[in-house]
Amino acid sequence: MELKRKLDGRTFRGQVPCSVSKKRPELGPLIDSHDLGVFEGKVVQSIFAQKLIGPQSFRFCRSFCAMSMEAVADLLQVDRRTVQRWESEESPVPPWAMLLVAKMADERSKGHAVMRTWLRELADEEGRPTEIDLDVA
Amino acid sequence: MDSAETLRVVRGLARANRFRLTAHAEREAGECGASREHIRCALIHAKSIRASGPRRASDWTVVGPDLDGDDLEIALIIEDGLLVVTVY
Repeated sequence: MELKRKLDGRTFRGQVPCSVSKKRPELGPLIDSHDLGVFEGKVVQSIFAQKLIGPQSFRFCRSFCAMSMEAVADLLQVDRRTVQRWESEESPVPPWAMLLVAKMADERSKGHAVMRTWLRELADEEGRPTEIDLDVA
Repeated sequence: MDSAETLRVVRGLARANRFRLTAHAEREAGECGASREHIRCALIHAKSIRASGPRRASDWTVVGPDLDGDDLEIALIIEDGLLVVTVY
């Protein structure tokens, strides 16, 4: 079955397997949550690889990461209302914010969380060493 | 199964990612730019449930907050240890 997502004037298409309920065949084809996740993962990978930017793409990547507006605002160290303005097209999504959120989504689709961990640690001032020994040899 | 027990089952199945969407529900979700996680979040944190009524394609209607705290109403059936979301 073909799934579609329209984000910022672009249409993403992909085929996913589907099944039919034995008890309620009248419901038609059913899409499994796992397969939907794989499709959405391909969408965010495409957004990241093609460097796409826009409010809907930002929101989609953010929600793919299962993050609330508040959570992403904390990670990016901006106000929640700033994120709301980006997503509601009141102000343009800055490229740096799009890059970070698309990168987090791309990594999540591949089972990684390097950028998210890095941003979380960056937002956490406490616990950072004040003296750092370097191995220069 | 009463409503309270059903609500617990819905939350547990959603947490385990054991749900499917009808083509109609998937299309609705896609049209408003929602991802799977919005639906999953609303199901995991579902706060109320009611029987959908005899004329509906679903057995239950649950209401829960999505990732942004906005309430979503989701119609579903429970079949063989799976949630089937019929309307989003």
